[in-house]
Amino acid sequence: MNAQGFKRLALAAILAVAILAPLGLKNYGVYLLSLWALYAIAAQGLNLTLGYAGQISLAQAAFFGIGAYISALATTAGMSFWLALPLAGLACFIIGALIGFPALRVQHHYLAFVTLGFNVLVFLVLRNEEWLTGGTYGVANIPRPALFGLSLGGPLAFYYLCLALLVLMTAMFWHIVRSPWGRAFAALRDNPERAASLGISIVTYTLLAFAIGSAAAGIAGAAFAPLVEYIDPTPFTLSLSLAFLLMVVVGGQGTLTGPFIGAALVTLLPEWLRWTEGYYLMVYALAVMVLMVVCPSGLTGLFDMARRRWERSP
Amino acid sequence: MSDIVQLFVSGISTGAIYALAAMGFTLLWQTTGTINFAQGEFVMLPAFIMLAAMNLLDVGLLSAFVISLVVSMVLLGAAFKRALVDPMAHHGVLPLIIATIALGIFMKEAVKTFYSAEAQPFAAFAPEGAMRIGPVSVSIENIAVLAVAVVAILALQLFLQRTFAGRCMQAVAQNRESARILGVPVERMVLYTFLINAALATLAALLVTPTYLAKFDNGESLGLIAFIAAIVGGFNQMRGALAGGLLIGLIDNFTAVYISTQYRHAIPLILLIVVILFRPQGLFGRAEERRL
Amino acid sequence: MTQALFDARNIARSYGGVTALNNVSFAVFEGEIVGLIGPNGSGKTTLFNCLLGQLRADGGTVRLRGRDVTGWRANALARAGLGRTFQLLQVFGGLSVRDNLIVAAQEHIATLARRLFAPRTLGLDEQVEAALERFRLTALGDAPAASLSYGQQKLLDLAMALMAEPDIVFLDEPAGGVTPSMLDEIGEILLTLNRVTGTTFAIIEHNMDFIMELSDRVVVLAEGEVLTSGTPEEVRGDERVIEAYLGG
Repeated sequence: MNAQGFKRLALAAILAVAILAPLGLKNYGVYLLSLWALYAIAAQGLNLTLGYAGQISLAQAAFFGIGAYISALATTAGMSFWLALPLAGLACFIIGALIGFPALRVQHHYLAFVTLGFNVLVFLVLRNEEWLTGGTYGVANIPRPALFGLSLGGPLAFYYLCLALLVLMTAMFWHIVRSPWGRAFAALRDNPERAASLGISIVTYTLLAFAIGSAAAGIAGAAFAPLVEYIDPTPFTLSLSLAFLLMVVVGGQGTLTGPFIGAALVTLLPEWLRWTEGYYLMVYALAVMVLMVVCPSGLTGLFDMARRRWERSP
Repeated sequence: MSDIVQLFVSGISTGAIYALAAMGFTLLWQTTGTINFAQGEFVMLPAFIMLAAMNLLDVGLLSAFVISLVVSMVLLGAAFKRALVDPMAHHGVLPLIIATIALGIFMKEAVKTFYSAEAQPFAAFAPEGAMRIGPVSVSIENIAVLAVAVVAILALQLFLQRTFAGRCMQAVAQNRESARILGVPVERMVLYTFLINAALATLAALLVTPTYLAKFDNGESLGLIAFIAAIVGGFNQMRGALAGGLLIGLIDNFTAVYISTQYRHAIPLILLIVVILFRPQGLFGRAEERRL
Repeated sequence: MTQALFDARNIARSYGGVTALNNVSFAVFEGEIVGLIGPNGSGKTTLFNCLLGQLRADGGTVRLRGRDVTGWRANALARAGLGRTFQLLQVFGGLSVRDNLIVAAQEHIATLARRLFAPRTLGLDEQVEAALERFRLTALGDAPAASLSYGQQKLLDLAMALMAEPDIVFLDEPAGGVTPSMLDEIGEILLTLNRVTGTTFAIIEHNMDFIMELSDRVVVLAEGEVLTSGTPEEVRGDERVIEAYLGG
């Protein structure tokens, strides 16, 4: 089987598992799956910024948070979720483009620090501006939406909403990376100087990469708010941004399936490692270190290596 | 007036501790391109090694410090280099960033699980109380911290500038390939920088922990401050990290008193973003030839 | 008097007090192949970088078809009709050979938003196949560019610079590191393009035989200044040029 066919098969398998997985699960299990779907959307966004366009960002949790707050504040004030969702995406698109400006001046580690700084600043604003965000008290009673009169309030129904969002967003990313934009992103990542000499605008595409990646986090966050029904600033710290980065790199940056696997590891692994009691984060951290030493291209890279070896053997 | 002097002294003394962590951070960056996201945990762990030594072996603070120094240099210096940085030398910047993030989580969780999740009191090495100099009184602890940090920084500077090994290390930091051609034992010099980083972190732990108490998540804010200090000062120069550390220490103390405590942590971040955007070489760093 | 296609006047650049370019002026006319030569350190590469939006010049003006393009960014220059190659190979190793060719031309087609929804190849298929054939890369169209041999990458590099059909192409050492047979091939391709499609070239080159053979006119740089310019024959016989090369 060629690589393309393998990729399609992998995506189809993931979708099939994702549709069937919640049947027979208790509410908590369904909640975890919903969380996985939303994390995967945000990770897809970061994957575009980082994996395809080569710009590191440690502010993904900030956009996830901005999206969540916009949706929470808008829907508790009576706005429809179906309006709040694109609004959150649009707001994050614009703020993401602004955050992209530093990337035009500085690269790599500097950019990591600027975005990291932005994430902490957003957290401080969420915590301190009580008049707007409710501060540490947060926003409660966030309603879950209905679609054509059909309530999506139940855990299972809401999970399928999250999954539908994930499928839509994945289709969008699939289209983008295969479009001329995707080619321009890849060219910029490989060699910005040469790309510019061929007429590719570094400014436009860098800002676009940030804006699209951030918008994805905003949309995921907008659905996160009704999922948990109560938000305060605590989930949106730097740790979550680091977790998103882990999802992308551990899953395999620059691949379409990588973020799914990465997000699954971050949300589900702690549950599977329950038997290790308090040790799971240590086991997890250790596994990440070993993976980075052995195969820096992440798990999909590891699968590729295994597949090629398997194909070569008679 | 007395308040301002007191604030200034305490700011400089906290800043000197930040500078220790920031200088180690800069050293690692210069010699190996390692951006150590676990730098804060590199300061947190030695504090717990000291605590463990004092509790288990029933030794004094000074002996505990020496033990911690040795253990840290082995674990956070040599082993860190051998096990994590060396194997990833050709993997690019990002995988190593991820690996150090994971290392930080690992260290935090290990301390939380095997030692304690609660904040532990930590003995100060200097007596409490204030000292009067003319009309103003300053805390003895602050002065002692400052004195120790200044001695350590001076010793490091002397080592780097006056000894053969120190100059070799600088050569490696500036241009690894030329240093190799000139016959500098590059690998050994790189190892030295990792050992020095571990030693600086242990010293920072000794000085900072009495104020903040020993807690497994101390490293989060400390690591961030070390980054900020290193970048604001100038990533390509040791004296930049020193100046950056002092500056952040001062800002930290003054904003806590004169500006809102709510946004106390925001000021260094805003400074960081402004510096990166408008003076990426840092306030005290050398400008590199920039292309369009 | 005909207007120069590309006209650089009094380009100056210094690095921390050391003058790299001292008021260099030169022009390229439509349909010409101009060679830019000079000993090492004479400022050729700095001049290219200043003209092509890589480095900001301290002074001087650059005009393309009479339009002032001084200080423009590289991507704006490219879209105004100026192509280039670099001294070191610069292909996008992760992309296929076809995608390298498409990406080299795509920004000249349609608007940004239209490109998002346009077909993958943007209707460039014919042009891509023609380029593949001309540079004998047809069999390698779907291979990642990084898997090509050095010589093939060199050809691809050149093909990319030409994809958008620029008015003028700046080549930085096209003969560098190339085998003699490949050298002939490159020379032939450049000449054909020049004669048939009227593409104008400005070329930095160390290989004297190659550049003298190819150029209509040669500009000699020495110590950051234009020493002389003229036909290859005139330059070849000029004592000052020989002196500059022998290390005056």
